[in-house]
Amino acid sequence: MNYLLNAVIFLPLAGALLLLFFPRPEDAPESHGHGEETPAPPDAAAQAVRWFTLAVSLVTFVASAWLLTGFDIAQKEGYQFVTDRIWFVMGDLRVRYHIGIDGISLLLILLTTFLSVLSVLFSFSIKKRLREYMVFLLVLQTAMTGVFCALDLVLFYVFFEAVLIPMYFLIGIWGHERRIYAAVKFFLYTFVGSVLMLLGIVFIYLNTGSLSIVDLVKPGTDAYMKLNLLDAQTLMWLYAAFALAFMIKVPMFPFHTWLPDAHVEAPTAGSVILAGVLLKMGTYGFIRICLPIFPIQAQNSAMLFILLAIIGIIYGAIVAAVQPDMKKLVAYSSVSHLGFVMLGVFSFTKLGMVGAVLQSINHGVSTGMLFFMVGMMYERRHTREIAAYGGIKRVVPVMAAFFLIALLSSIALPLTNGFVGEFTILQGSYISQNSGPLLTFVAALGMVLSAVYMLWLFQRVFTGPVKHEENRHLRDMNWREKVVLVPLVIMIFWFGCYVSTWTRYLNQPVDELMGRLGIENQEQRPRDPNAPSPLRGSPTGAG
Amino acid sequence: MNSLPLWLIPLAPVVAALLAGVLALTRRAERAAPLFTLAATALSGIVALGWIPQEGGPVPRLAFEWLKIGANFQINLGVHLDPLAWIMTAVVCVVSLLVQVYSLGYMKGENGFARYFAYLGLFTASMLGLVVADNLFQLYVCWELVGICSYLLIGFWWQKPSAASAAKKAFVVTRFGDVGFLLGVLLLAAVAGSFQFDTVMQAVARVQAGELTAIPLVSAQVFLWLAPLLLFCGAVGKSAQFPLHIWLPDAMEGPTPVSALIHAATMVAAGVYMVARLLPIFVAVPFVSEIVLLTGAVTALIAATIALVQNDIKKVMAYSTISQLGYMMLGLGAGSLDSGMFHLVTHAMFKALLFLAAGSVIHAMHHAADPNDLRVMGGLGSRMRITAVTCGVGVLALAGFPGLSGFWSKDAILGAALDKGSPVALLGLAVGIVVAGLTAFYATRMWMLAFAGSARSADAEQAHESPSVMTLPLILLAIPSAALGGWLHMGHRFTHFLHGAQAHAEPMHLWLVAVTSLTAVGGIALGWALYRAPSAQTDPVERTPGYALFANLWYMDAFWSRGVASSMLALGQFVAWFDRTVIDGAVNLTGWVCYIGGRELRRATNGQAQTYTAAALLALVIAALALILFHNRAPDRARIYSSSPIIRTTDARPHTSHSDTGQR
Repeated sequence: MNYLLNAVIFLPLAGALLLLFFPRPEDAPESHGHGEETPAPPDAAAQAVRWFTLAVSLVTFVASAWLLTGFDIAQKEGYQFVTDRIWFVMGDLRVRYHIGIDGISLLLILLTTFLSVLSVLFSFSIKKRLREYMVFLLVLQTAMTGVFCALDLVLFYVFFEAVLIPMYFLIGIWGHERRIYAAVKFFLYTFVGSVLMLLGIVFIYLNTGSLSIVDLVKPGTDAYMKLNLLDAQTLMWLYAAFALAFMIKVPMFPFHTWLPDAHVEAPTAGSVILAGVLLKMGTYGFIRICLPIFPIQAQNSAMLFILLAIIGIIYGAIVAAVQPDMKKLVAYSSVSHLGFVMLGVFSFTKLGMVGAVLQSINHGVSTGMLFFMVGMMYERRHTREIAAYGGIKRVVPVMAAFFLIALLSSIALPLTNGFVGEFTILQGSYISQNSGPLLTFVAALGMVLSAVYMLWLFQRVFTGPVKHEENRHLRDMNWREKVVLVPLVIMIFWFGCYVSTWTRYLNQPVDELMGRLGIENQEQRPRDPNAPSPLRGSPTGAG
Repeated sequence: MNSLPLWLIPLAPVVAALLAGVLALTRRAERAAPLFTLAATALSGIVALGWIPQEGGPVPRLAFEWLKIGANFQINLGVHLDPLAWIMTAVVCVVSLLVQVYSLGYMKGENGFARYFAYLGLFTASMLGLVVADNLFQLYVCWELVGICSYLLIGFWWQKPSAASAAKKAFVVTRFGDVGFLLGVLLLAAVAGSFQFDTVMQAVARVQAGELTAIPLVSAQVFLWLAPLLLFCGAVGKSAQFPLHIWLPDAMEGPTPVSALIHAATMVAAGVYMVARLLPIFVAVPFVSEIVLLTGAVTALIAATIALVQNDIKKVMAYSTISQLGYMMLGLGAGSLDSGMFHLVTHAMFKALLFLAAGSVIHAMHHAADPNDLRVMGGLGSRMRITAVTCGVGVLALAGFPGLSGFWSKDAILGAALDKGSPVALLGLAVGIVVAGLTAFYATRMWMLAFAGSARSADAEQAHESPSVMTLPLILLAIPSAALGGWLHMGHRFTHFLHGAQAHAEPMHLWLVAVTSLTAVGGIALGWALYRAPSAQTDPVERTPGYALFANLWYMDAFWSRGVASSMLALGQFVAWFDRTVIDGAVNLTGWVCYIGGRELRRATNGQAQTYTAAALLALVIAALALILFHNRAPDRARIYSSSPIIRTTDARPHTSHSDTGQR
């Protein structure tokens, strides 16, 4: 079965290579989305590119869903679908092609393949350089999936950085007015962070001779011993290098400013992938690398991260409320939601961790849906200004209904996915030694603020009388747009109504992580009066 | 008896709502939608009838594990039908059923007919789910769901900006309270290790008895008052208590039957129900129950004074509802579960009746510019006899006219306050008596303005009685509004049903009954006297002291909208500016510095051999200087480490030894 995971990673890349041999479709003229859209004469080349890409991503999705059948929930520890080969040897450096998944990776991979199918389908409407666009989307998919599978630090780094390249081009070529600025900012900002991570990886390799994520966290291995022989200060710096890279990716306050620019300027599918999957690479990095490899350092810095997470929740929500641009509003709401995810991670409780993973998925689904819908409106009106709309529920009732569902999921209404995630995170944060009730109070205010900015958005865009004449003849959704959104709606309610289908996969990896952090029974853990104060460096370290 | 059919109570309306929703989406056979929701509501009611709790009998309970994470965290969804839940179920089913029948007439020909019934079905399901919950989680989930149904129904006529705005306001304001409620739920669950009501209440009792001291993160004393106060935040929001009552009057933008069902009879009572359900937690610390009592009293008083001066028929009702909900809280704060719930039941009947009667009036006046305006009505009594009579019954019941439903339950509440006897409770009692008089007056004023005298506009002259689907529910609700209170009071049926036949029921205080009866009758008489022949120009209430205060709603709306909302917006603008200029500015500054640095350094690469040679020379000089400096400093460093013998031996360089010799 192990070939299956490789197939999930590399099928899109193979598809992208094949796509290069397709004839190049003509660029279609921009349409203006009003009323009776005259369908352009069907371009056979374009159709071939579209349907082929869709087929590739669909097959990949089916393959990733197939992983579920072979995945053993009962397995007590370690990874599944493992492939471990030497990739390349360079002097002493032996980089392995080592991949494998646990429940956390599995869910994130499913999210990636799921959103990729929908993004491809949505991107049928791309007019400019369609083939190249699809190639980049497929390459992006391979890189993202790889991140969630890699068990070797260099391999992880390669995938982590490989994501930047197609995304850079997607924003830079197909983006909106300030696309070059946004693309460069996105690339440089996240790249600076990951270069530090690369330094960290090199340092770890020089000191332990190992790059294996599995070995570095397993007590008893040579790599583990050598790593923990390093003095506390060195480990702290190493941890900081990794953490900074992931903080920028998440993004956590105050490293979030690349996000609104990138989201706003990216083409719709780019925004969806960016919010839905790319940001999760940051939280995944914390869960897979930072916390298990540097548990003591993570414990010591937990207070700092929780504070930043909570600032992010409130700050993102407040800024979102006053944005005049719909995409920016959704982008800042991402900062707020990702704050919840990080709060869950650094609560160091099982509930918080499970909630954080769930919320990662949920945010991908609901924010992805919001970005799709903003993209649909943009295709019709060529503006993202909230003020350019108003009262359009009368014109596009179906769209309004879908938007309302996405919105409710975003404000964490019970029976939608958003609630399950936020509820478990808040419960986890409540019982956590790191955050506790008081900080949870502050975080919970984010739930009120999210209702404020989202419902206000809905009110200004959809309700009331039609404000602008040019909106009177907007086209409601076509079949393709509905096909994009319906699966998302299903996921919203599936997660919301019966999340146990998915939490089953999270029990084992989260337990393992908890064990790694030295927390077995967090629910009734009494406070240790001698515990080192957070924020201060650990006097003991690991050595 | 197999209790599996109990699942039907919350689930039947869900299915019906989904079916109605399909009709609404496909826009086919919209007129069939009410069939599903009516049948489902009736089915829920019939199932509940089959499980009337018997004294000493087992409480039927169904549960299903919804989510389990780790060993200690488990969430169940279930149905649990004890007497308290049964009473609420009955109220919800009866009112919902009648409101749906009424809506057949009221909403006939409306755009979105099926959508309306889908929402109503969803609301009924959520409310029933809330009522039959046996754990905090389900209570919270359904609590939020009724909130969203309320949002959807207030904004049903979303084309009206005021309706869209009111819907948002209702959701946001109640969510403000709900966050407190959520935190209370989280705290209780963290301490009890479970969401189940009985486990939670046992845990609180154990904390109170000092048996359970290992409370995570807060001390036992703090926990005992913090948990109920957090829960109470939710009740303050949902049951429109001061200072979060501001959303309910705006909620009248929704269709009137919705106001009757949701914003008068059932959903707004959810807060009262929750406090009643968890009353042992609230009375564990005396000062918490006093806060509940005082909140109720303040709310009752403020809302009643505002209701005095309203000219919109639905606004009068809305403030009256807030005031009556305050009464219920007052009763619960006095520690009396029975009186609070008793008033909830009777109020549900007569307030639903009043709203539906108001709807009937509005329906008749629908040609008027503002069909809700009492000032353009008048003389409707002769044209709409059934509405006038049934509304009159409702008014008298609300006013607490001796013998009618409201009289018994209001008296039970005031009696409970008197029995409690603490200073705060006696203050509540005094406020309650004053409010009783105010209530009688404004209810009579409203009725007289609408139905008595002669028509004050052409629209009022042309008004005619509503169709029978609308008047039938009025008649059916008038019966319990008149008689239910007395029937439940006789032989202490209500108390015995709730607590079993052995329960002790407090007898009525005759002097209190006399005082409240006189106040009520006095209020009614005054209203009748002042508004016998009302004119369109002047209104006697304008001469009351404090009129400006009442007409401006005690400035509470202004406080929230101008004070809180505006400052939040200003803060948002500031933070957004801060984000762009300072935080993103720092990022861009870094980028700019690198760019400028690179550009300037690039000038050095100009291809001239002279420059390169000069640069190489400069580098050489710097390197030489550095070497010399390093060399000269070396001895100093050696001295610093001179305590270490190893360094001393390695540092035995010629010039160091020279200086050493020189010193010697």
